Amino acid sequence: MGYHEPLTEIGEFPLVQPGTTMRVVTETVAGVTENPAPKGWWMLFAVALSFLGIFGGTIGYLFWRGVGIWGNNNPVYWGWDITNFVWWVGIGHAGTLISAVLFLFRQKWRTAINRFAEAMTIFAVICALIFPGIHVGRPWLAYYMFPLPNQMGIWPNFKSPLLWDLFAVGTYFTVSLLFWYVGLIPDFATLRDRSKTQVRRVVYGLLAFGWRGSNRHWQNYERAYLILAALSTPLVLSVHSVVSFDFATSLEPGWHTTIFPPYFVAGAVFSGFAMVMTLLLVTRQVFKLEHIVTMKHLDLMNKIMLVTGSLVGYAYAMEFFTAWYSGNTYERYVFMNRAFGPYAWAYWAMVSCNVISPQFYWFKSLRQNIPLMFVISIVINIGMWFERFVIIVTSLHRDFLPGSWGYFHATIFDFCTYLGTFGVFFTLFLLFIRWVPMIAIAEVKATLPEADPHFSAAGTGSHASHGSHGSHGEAHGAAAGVHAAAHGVAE
Amino acid sequence: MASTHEHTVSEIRLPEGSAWHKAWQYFLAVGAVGLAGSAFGYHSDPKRFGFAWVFALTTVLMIGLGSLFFVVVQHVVGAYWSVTVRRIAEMVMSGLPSIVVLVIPLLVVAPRVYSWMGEHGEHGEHAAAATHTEHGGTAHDHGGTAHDHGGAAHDHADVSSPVALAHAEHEAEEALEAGIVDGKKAYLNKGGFYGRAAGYVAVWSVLALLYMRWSIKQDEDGDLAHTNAARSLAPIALILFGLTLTFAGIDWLMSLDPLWYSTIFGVYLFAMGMVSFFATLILLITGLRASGILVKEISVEHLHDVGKFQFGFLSFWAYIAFSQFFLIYYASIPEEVTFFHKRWTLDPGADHAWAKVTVVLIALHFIVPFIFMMSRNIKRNTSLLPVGAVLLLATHVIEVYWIVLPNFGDLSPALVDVSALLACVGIFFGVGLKSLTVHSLIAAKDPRIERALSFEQV
Repeated sequence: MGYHEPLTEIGEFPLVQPGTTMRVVTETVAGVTENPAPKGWWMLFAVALSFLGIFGGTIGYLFWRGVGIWGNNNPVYWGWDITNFVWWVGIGHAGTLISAVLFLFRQKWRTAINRFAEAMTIFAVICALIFPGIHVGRPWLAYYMFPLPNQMGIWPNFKSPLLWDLFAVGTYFTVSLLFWYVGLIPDFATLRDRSKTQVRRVVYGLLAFGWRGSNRHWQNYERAYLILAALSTPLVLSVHSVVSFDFATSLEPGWHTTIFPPYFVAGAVFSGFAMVMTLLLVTRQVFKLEHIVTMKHLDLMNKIMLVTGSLVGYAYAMEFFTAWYSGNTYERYVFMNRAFGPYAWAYWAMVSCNVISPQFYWFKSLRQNIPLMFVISIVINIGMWFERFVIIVTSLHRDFLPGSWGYFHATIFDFCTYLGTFGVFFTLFLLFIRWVPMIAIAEVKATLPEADPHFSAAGTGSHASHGSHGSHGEAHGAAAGVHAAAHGVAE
Repeated sequence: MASTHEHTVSEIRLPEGSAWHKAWQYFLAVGAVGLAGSAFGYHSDPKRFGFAWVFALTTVLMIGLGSLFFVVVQHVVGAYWSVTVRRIAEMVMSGLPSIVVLVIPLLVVAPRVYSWMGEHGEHGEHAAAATHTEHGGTAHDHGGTAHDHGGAAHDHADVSSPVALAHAEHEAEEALEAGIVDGKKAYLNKGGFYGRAAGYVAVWSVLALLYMRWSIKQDEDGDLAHTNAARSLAPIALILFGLTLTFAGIDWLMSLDPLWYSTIFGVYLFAMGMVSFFATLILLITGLRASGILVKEISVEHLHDVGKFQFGFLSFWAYIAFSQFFLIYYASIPEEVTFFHKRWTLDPGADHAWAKVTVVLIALHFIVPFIFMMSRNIKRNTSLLPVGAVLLLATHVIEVYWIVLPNFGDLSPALVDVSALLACVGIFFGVGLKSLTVHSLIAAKDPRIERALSFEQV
């Protein structure tokens, strides 16, 4: 695979802005952790900390009073708690998709955003795990979630998807953390080597696990990275599939439908990309990373959102069509009730945010319009929250017994718990940006033209200079300049 | 004229007189024999022939749609490794217009195959095939006191007796089912069925012809505009592909049992199509290489990637098929679970043949090939990878059979199944292989061809 200039006539593009050298990449990314934080960071951090305070206060009150402070009622036993759980788990998926699935598909543009997205995965899963932990209301009984017998010797039901969820999310978190950390090792070593203070040298030195960048280190690193990518890929599918089982294994119309597993996965990737986009646009601006995270990266992410948004639209349509096609009175009623009943506002908010808003991305000019994509990324996040709300609340609020029909009213504590998890997420995220290289330095460098053994500065600008298969074998070991010269003769 | 790209790659053609060059004729001959057998099958039992044809048509259609998706996706993502194998995939795809002909028998026999099209009383078939045969064909009188259950052992004068109750329930169930099917008339009606079928076939043929045309045109003039045109249409093509595949699946397969429904069914068919297409692609590539054709152009590196896709989609198929099974099994709602009851009857005294087929599918369509194809060494082995592909193609045929035929009744393979399969496979691949004899075997002027040829796994 020889070096080649991107063919712009057929829509190919350089992975980083031309002129960005290895030195620039190191300086830019490592600089974020070394220079004093810009004002924007402090402002965001202050906001995040105040939301963290809201979180602490609300959770404290929750533990004092119990889950009665939430709006959950009979028949809506699951309300915002599980909605938020599914929403946060879903957001995590983009990180794994970018780091593992796109890696296996050799999508090298991922290098500019993968570290960032993986960090987001880990923090989002932390936020998600808060909800099962607190929704039991009695934190001293949180161990009920684990496969441990209680004081009467009764084990949790192994046939319950809620227990599988614990395994699924737990595995996902562990593997994501490992994957993230393995990728970080060479970059921690870079920070260590650039340290000017003893504290930095010791801390980053410990974090870098004695990385010296030897050939052996790289070989083991590449192998571990590939294995972890291969392990993470089925996890992207399994985690949200198991989350969807929480609903789909039931007999509840609106919950029990076979498309749920892939539909939840597509929705998760969709919302995760939207969240990466929101964060990336701000960070890119605050830390001036436009030459590494280029417009082309944003464009590609928007395309993925168009694809996953349309897949989610397909699932909505299939659910609706099949509810009608089934001839099942209860199925039909649940969907008519969703679209035209008391929660019609939530349903149509979901459809407009998730299916209609990404359709703007059919147009290249709109895919590259930063204010628009910022707005749409937030709209999608709102829409995906509504999706889980619609699934959970509208299916429950009118169940088989019309006598127990009800309506869900969120309380101020529902709002505060939800907003509070943003505090958790953004506090962790801002600390990450400040102290950890937020772009995979080593991986981005590998995508630079000069990293390719066939690269020649002289050949730049000429499409004809890339390695043709005939001369490939001989030219392989040759120095870049010689390679270009050989071509000149051949032509 | 848009810009072109300088090329040093030359076209490769099938050697005249080689077996591959004549293969399309063999396939068409096989298709003709199959057609003759099918005609005989239609003559002797049109309904049984109808089920056989649905099975055979679906088997090749899934492979063809898989190839269409593969070709379109390569354009959407701008992949370069796949440029050397794309023409072989396009060959499979160019068989799709033959569906215009192959669908005709389906349209002719549809009223006999799809109970919802027929007259009243026919859609209770699956219930009638069950355990109610002891009631015989005698007249039932539910209003009066006299009951004749057709056997001396069942002499019940009371309506509340278990047999009479079961009988009344059965009748009520049939009436209910008829009512449900009636409620689907807005979709399940003859006009809609034929109109949609025409639409599906038109979409598939037009897309296949367009993508083939752009690729071939580029062989002649090397114009980059063809690459861009293929890329521009690709997103629309994918949407059309998804919708036609889903609704054709509902019309032709799901509505074989008009009461059953599953929202994941379209995704399931998509996964099935991809698995069978990659198996076909592997067989074609390794077959051509075995005859000394394309050995350098489609290297082990490319085969490795095709093998990865085969393995990946096999896992995806298992995930989707399992999700469908598992959710239906776990909830066990009567209106859904019938699908698996038919294929997993373990009642004592009943025929367990379909359950055995199910076991075969689990073992040979998933467990064995999944373990076999996991290794990197197998994916790079030109003689072992096709073994896995043969297994997956064989089980693909069994799987489609397992979806279609239980709606007819007990497992009873017939000669007409073989004839119909030969007819569809022969005609579909005959048309496809013909295109290989007139065009280059690689897209020699594709702007990414040099990169594809020098591609290596890193």
